[in-house]
Amino acid sequence: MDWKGCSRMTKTINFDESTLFTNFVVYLFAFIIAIGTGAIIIFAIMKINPFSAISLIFSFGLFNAFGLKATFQYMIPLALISLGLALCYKAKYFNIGADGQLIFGTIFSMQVIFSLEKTTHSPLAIPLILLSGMVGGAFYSLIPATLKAKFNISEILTTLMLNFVAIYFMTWLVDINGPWKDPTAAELESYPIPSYYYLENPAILLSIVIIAIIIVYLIDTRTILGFQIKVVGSSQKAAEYSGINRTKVYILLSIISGALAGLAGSINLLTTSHILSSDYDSVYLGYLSIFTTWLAALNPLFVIMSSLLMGVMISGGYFMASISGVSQLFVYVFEGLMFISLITFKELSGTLRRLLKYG
Amino acid sequence: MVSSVLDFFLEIIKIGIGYTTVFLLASLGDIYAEKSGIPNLSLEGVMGMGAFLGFYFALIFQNSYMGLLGGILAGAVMGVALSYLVIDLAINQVLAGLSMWLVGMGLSDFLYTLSFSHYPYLVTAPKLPTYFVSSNLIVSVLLNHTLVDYAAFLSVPLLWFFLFKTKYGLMIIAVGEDPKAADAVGTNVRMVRYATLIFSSTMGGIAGSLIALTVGLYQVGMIAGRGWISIGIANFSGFNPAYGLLASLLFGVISALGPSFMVIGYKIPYEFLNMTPFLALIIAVMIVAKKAIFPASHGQPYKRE
Repeated sequence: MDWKGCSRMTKTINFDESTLFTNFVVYLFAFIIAIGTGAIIIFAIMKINPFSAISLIFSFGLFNAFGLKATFQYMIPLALISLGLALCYKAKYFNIGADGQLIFGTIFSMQVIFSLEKTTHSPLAIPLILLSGMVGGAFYSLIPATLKAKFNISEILTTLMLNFVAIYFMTWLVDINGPWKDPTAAELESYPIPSYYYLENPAILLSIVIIAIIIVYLIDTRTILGFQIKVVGSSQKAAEYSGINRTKVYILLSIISGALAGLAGSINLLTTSHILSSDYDSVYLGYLSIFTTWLAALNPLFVIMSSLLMGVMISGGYFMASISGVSQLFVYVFEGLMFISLITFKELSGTLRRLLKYG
Repeated sequence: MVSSVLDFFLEIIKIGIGYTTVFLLASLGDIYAEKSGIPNLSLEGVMGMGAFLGFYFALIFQNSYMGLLGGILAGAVMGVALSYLVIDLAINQVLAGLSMWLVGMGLSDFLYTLSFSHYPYLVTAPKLPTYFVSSNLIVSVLLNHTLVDYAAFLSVPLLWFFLFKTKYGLMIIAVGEDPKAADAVGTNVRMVRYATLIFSSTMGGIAGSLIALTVGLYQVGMIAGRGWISIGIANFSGFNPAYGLLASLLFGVISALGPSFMVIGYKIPYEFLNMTPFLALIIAVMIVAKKAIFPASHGQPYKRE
């Protein structure tokens, strides 16, 4: 299909054309409602002042040196995963298997690190490790995409099933008799990675994210694939009539999103965890990034802000958990509540827009 | 050797029936919801809430049947919330289901750690009692189960009959196939969908409370994907309660393999055994994929003009 055909089709297909202002109002409402509900829950169950709790979370996550570091550590993988998911959800390809893809990215990186250790240390090692993480994630993400394309199986089920498979596989690797178990460690952990592979320079990490954002943004707005994604997402029939190969779109989407999730896992390994552990702290990053993706309105440019908010909530939540004995699982409740109020307001934004227009 | 093989099979039956009941209850509910045109993707979260509230009720009333009531309550509340989102507000059913899943999963674990993590010992609630204790090992393995297990198996013919042979069941199917036509002949589409969705979440709540009440305790991340497996079983059964029973039995046995191997002390890493239900489910859904028949209005909201 040539570009003229594309532009003609754009006019006939009704894309979501909500303006920036209504979007902003919708998100503001969703945020206030979620904060309000969350505050009531905090107050009702935990018997602490909700305003001081929320201000504590934000002041720790943003204005404390330790807190900011933790926020940053969560923000980078969340942003990378959300970028891939944003493209997937635009095509209504509901990939919720980012956790499994992240884990396989980590496992592939770990394998490369263990085999590199025997050879000499070279400056190309870190890019190679990151690349292997991307390959691992993409490989794991291709399975549900192939099943969807060949057998039309719901990707929601398969990606979720594969998450559990990945978690069990990782647990086996570091289990008592597992191949990577560090015999000297008390916990179920792998051997630590050598310290010269640590990647702790925030400038490098941030530039990786920014490059990823630019690439995804260009794919989204400037390529045929980005257009095809929107057509497939808006109507299966339109995709069929315009001769778009849905199989190809799903496969490419899964490669992109899986590679980004795998990259997130491998970055997480090099920056934060340094080991593979059965008690893997970031297992639920994939679930959290479902939410950050929708919070960013599926726009690659907003992903960094929604991930920052989520990062603050996670690190502030851990801090609050440590000082007040409140469980950090509160973050997941809060995220779910916010998700519900967000999609509800998004759906009601038509009504809201009319109200804003006519007073 | 013979005794260990026998032990192994008895163990599979004993553990497998527990798993089967959970899968059966949850998937029967989902079959009804999907027949009326709405997939209940929140099932995993609903089961989590059912497990927590079931455990909590059983603990404070010191009665495991009150625990079941807690499961029913949790399921019904979650079902009403989900129905309101997808039926009245007509929100994308996948998104609404996923968001309810995240809320249920987070809230149940959060409430548990909040209320019980500061206890120095493991808090246990009364277990569901079994009544048919027998000195004969085989009889006791076959019959010694909770009343819920019996009720779940007996509900299959009833639910099958209700769905395919009664007026109300046909109303559900009609709504799932063509809500517009069903509405035209006077069926209250909104009510039917509300009813099936609340029913399915309630069944999920019971299934969840059963997970907690058979062992008498709650653990963080206790559901471990069983809600999603139940949704897969509903798909695998072609939305027929009778096949749902067969599929639940199959997956009950597959899920029981891991614990049974552990009991007889066979050396297979338990992680691989725990993986098998998830891999088997993908294969099962793959087998039926070519002839899977979804209701025509599956996944689409219906609004009266």
